[in-house]
Amino acid sequence: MVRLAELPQTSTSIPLKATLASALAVGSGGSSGSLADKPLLKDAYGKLLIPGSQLKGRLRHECEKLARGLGWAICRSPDPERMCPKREGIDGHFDRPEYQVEGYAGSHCLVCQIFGNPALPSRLWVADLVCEVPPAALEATLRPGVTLNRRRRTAEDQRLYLIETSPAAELIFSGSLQLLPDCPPWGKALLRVALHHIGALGGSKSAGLGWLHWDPQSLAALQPNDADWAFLAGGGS
Amino acid sequence: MEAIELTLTAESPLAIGRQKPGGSISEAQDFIPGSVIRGALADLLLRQSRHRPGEALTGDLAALFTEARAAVFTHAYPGSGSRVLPATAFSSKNNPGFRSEAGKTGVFDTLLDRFCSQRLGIPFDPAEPDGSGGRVEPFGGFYSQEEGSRYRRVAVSKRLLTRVGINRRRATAADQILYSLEVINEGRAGRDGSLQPSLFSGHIYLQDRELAAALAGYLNTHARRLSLGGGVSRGLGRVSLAARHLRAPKPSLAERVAAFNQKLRQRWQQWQVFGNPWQPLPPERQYFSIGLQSGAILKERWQRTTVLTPPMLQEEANCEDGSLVLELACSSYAYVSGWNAAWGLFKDVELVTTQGSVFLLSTTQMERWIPILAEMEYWGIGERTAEGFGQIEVCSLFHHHFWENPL
Ligand SMILES: [Zn+2]
Repeated sequence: MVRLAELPQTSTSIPLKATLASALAVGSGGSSGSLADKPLLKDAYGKLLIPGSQLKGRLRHECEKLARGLGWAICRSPDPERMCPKREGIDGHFDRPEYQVEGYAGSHCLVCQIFGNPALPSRLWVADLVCEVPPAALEATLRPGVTLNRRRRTAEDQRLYLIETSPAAELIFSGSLQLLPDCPPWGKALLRVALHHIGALGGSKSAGLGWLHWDPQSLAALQPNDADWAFLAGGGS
Repeated sequence: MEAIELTLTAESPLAIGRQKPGGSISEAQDFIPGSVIRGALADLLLRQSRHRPGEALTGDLAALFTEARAAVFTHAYPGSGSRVLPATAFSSKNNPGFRSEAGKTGVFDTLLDRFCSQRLGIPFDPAEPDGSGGRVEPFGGFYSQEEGSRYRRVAVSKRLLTRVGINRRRATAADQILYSLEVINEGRAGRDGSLQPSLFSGHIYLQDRELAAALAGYLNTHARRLSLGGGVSRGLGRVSLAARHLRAPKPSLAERVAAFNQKLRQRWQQWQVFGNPWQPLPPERQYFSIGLQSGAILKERWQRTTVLTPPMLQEEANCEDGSLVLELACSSYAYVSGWNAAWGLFKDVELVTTQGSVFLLSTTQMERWIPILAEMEYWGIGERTAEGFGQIEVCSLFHHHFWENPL
């Protein structure tokens, strides 16, 4: 018998804060209002942002690598056919009790249990990272980029483009991770390590753009316990 | 009757799709449907109570979502206390708008004039209220009434989001994969640099006082940040929510009906100059309008209908009244669909009588209808009322504003 007044508050919101150590180039084709081919993304108030979709994608990618490294079989996102519970053409030890989710058919690897798949809703919500500096105080910079022809190791003609970047100031971006009540407890441990591995976001990392460091307090909120580590370490068994 | 007033403040863009059969799903709605709020709350509660799919709901969850008189989640409209403009509202074709905006000739209602002209068999052809003879056309959307009687149109602003797909294998942006979807803006920057977040307001109506208090408490502590619509796991659809448990407002329906009838008879007198021979309105008859504050899914003997007919209303109200007559209908229809997260399926496509539709009815037994209609203003009419369909407003004061005194 469910009583509203008695429900535990189990949904955890973890504030995320990152300081940008270099200029950022998170852009997209198709945004308007800029000369650049790749203008920066902004919210409705004009504040710079790194979309939650991009951070979520990066987190998933890092979690996949980590979990595989610990010996867990992990499906191949983002292709729905190659993700749990279908996993067409993917081998591996998916048939294990840890991959059963109550109420959902098939088996769902550790990463799917956090990030979701076509059958299982995501148990993690990733908000946009928004820069609180008022837009008027920021001057965007245009940088020329050149497409390299890898085979000939030369710059290709006609492939000069403009990237809009944030000024190279120490900008603070904040957002949040929300772990829903049904998110498995060991999810925190994976996410914490994944965040450690994300040292840069956005495009043109090799050109030195988008390097950032996470606020230690954000990571502290993801502090897992011994049982969670022990569970994750059991991937090879 | 208990009411919880909900105020939703957008904290990120809202991707609340308008799903049309065969259409693309990327177009954004102009409001937050009750089904979206209800679905998000149900989803949160089910996760929190570790409910297993397929299991029957119990306790407060059953009372809220599955019992016969389940709670009604109305649509949340932009602004606070906004209402839907009736289909009978008209304004200039070239320069539409309320007079509160500079240079506008105003908005007026045509319901009572339509009634009079139809009864007299004279075509009704309104023109712009400034007397210029300019053309007018229906003026839809939402309005809010500020203190005094300044009326204002309320609307959401939208934009197209373009996002880059991620190539996960290389952990880089995949340049060729772009996707776009239309979203409701989270707010806008004012001219003075202030930030004005997008606000929406709606209601939850339910019967049980204790449950209402518990729900309001729950919403304020647990669901302060609810996520609505699409893309919620990747940053879209975040709203902060404030819930206020209200004592059920005393129905003012009897006074509204009396005022409406007085206005209608006065107007009929004014139309007398065109009547030849002049016929008074039957004195034993009273009139009332039903305006749809949200789309309604109406069925009469298992057939879809877009008009609220007397037999349908009697069946809905469980009240037999042979004197009930439909005098006038100003309605149109649309199709809606939706996504049922619990089933992972599209809901059936429904034929919906659109919000703003107005029906004018008359009866010789008005006193029987007043308490029934007052209840209907909370519970709604037709099907899927728990999701906010079929909300009505009886004898809206908006119908009192004629061509010569536009708003
Ligand atoms: Zn998987």
